[in-house]
Amino acid sequence: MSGLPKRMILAALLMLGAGAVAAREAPPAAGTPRPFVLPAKRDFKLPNGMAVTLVPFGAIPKATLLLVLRSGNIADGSKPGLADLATELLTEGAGERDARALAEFAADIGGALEVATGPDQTTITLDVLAERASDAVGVLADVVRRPRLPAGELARLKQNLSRQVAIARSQAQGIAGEAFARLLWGDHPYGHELPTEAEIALIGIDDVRGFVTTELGAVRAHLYVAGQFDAAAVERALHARFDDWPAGAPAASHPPTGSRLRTVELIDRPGAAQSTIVLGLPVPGPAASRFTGLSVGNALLGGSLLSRLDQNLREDKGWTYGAASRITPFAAGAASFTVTTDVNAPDTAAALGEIFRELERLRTEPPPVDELTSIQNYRSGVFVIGASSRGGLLAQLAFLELQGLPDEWLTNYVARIHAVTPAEVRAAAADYLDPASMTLVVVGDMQKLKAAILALPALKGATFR
Amino acid sequence: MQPLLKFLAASLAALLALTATAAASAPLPAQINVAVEYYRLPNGLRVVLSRDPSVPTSTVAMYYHIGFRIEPRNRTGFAHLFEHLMFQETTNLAKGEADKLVAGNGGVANGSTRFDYTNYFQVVPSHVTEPVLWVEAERMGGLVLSDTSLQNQKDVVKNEVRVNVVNRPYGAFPWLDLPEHANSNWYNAHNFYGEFADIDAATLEDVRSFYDTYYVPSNAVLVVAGDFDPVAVHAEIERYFGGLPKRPEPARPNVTEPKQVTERMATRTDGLAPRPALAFGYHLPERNTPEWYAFGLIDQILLQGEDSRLWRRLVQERGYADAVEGGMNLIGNMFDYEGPMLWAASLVHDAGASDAAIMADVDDVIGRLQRERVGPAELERAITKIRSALYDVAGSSTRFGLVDLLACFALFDDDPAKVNRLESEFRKVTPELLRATARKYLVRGNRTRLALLAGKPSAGAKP
Repeated sequence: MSGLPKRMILAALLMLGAGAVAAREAPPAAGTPRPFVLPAKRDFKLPNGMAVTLVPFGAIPKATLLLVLRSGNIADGSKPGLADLATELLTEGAGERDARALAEFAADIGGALEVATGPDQTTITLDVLAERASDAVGVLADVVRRPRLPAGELARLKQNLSRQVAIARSQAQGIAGEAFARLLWGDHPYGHELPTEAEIALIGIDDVRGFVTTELGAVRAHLYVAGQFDAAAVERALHARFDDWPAGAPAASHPPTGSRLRTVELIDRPGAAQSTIVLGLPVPGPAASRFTGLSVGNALLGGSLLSRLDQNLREDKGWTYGAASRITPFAAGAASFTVTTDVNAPDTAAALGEIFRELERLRTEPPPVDELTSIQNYRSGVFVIGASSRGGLLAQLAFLELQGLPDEWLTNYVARIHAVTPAEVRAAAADYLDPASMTLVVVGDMQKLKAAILALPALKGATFR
Repeated sequence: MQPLLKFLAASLAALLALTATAAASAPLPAQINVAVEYYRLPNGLRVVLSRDPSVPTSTVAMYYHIGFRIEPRNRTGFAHLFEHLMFQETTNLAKGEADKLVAGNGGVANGSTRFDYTNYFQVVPSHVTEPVLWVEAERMGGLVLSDTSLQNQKDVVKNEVRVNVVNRPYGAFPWLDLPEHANSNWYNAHNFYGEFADIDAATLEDVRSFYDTYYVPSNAVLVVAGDFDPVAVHAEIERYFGGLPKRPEPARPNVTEPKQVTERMATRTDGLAPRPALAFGYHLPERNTPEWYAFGLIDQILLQGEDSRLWRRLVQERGYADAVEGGMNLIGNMFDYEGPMLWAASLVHDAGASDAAIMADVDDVIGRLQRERVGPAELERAITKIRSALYDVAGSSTRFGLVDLLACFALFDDDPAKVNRLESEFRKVTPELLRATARKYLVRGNRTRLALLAGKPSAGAKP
């Protein structure tokens, strides 16, 4: 569930150009890369099955606590939006503190309680001064174990959710994303990104209380602590506050079946200055054996600064501010690949043609070695850059947890990226990125654009909706 | 105007930690204490070095003392358009090669245009520091301009404005809209993103003149932070930048804002917005004054976080909105601007909540701050929030926040070491000064209100 659009910053994205030009001064050579060391961490379980990971880390006196709960919109059942409301209500008072006291205490210890509901995971984050890490453990324990769930606040939170949903549906990207998810995942909860007004209206306090009772429990929880903190004191606090939390029931698995039909939905946005494009299909998740080749191919196409899509659609044509591709992993081995961009309205059909052309090139030609090397360096370098961020580290550990991947997935990351060959990139794209299996959504001024889109050769044989 | 570093944000989710520093046993510093070395080359280029070898990366940033505030009068949006051109071609780098040099060696690069500066920055594995310094010298000394690049980037910039403003509900609200209504001086009140006619009208001659005037060593600061060899980096800076000719510092127009004495009210309709919205802003005290530091604490007490007074009243108690957001400088922070600035807040609310009712609550909350001294616990909480944020600025893996402060304090105050004295400046603020500042600045005559009316959800109106 997204909130308001983030306020903007003037920023230019950078692009990659063509090959080198002779007879110029060459840049100085880079030095020798310095090795980096993964931080030592300690993993253990409380008697009730709750998982804990402690990572002493970094040079500044702060600690981040991240509590990951294996629940989310996947558990909405017949009440879409229920997980969002339940999570929001957790911070409306817990234990001895009402909502105000909770917010003030979080600020006093140097942080703010942040909750986020995802499709498969719900997270509660508290980032605090080093010496207050044990206090933060207590706050998290109160929020998940002793939430007040005040019935009187539910109407306000429902109104907030309705407003957020209305705003999401007023954004071209929100409209396109919602339609794409519905086409791709169908009746599965992944296919229902935004609740409707009517669905929100149906949710009552008993639904929320039932959700919290069923979905929160020790075997669903993993608490990560990263930064500077007194490990012994934090561990004492953990045992004191969480040891007797009931284990609860483990999360059920609901693997989706994604659509591989060539489906096109054109959504009219009269007068729109740009067209918003989402194109994609289900792909294997990170645990799959050929995922690395696929992810490097994705980076080549549109997942990095050096991407072909940006190079083509932006730096060559000037049709867009940016075009990207990404792989979005879910639980249970599911993932989606998507190309997204907003293009100047008159260039919509031409831009689609170029996107299909770039996909075809990736699927038929092994990438040049120097291009592949640049992407591999980029992926490795960014891995190093993020290595000193508490938030980046914890997000990655939570990702491993969701995907059921071992630590080696991270410790071997750089080597695995560099081992990918041009032939593997081509083969992975050929096998997994077939445009004939892709779903396409375009949000734009269809009165002007529909005919040209319908006439695209790459969409021949597609089902139009 | 994408969220800063769209690619980096995505990539940061794919990372792991590297330095393991012994935890917790070291004594806690009272406030941040970052290394600062500051000097100027004979051609006037300011240099700030801040070494921190705890992570094998370095951040190289060049800040030019030219923002959109003082761009040419008949060329709105020009400072930002120019920023895009700086990523095109240089004497020794064909289009795209600079980016390939940075990203292809494992780094991340970006630029941004703000009120009073334009910056170019990259974070790289530390062994790539020297090539990046060379790239920045190329940009400063050897930008190559062409009609092809200019036309291409005009198209890109117009598409940037379309995706962020024209085709987006609340796209200009309130960060672009509010300054236009709150300010009288053109420099503070024009369309910073640019009218399309002005963007289209830009010529290569305009570009050359702007470059020659503002992109000179004496109008810039180079910041290198992180893991670098201090001896080598001095020599490299001398080698690549020392030979650039000394040029005069550009003249600065008068950007002073006349004192506002009457409340201003503005309204506009957003054809894409499904709900109305309300913004209000007050002109701030002059930078670096005791009142300005006091306002930094007022911002924390009134607006920052769910513990703040406006959040509690407008969101928690009244339920007007799911959030109230804002601060001192809506596209940056209280430290990274130089000219006149607003403290502003905004919220998107339902049609049932009237602007009058919301503003009555705002006035009531502000009135209490003007009547009653803030107690010690709330004052300490405000300082704690600032300190906690400053720690993360100093210790971030990209150091973008740190180089931003170092660069701005060098350009605007000739004093980058000020970064280490910020907390003590806030600690000088007394409850009496805080109340006096609220009484003087948080008055209606100093305020501008902007109401956004929701149009038909399906209409494709221009803002």
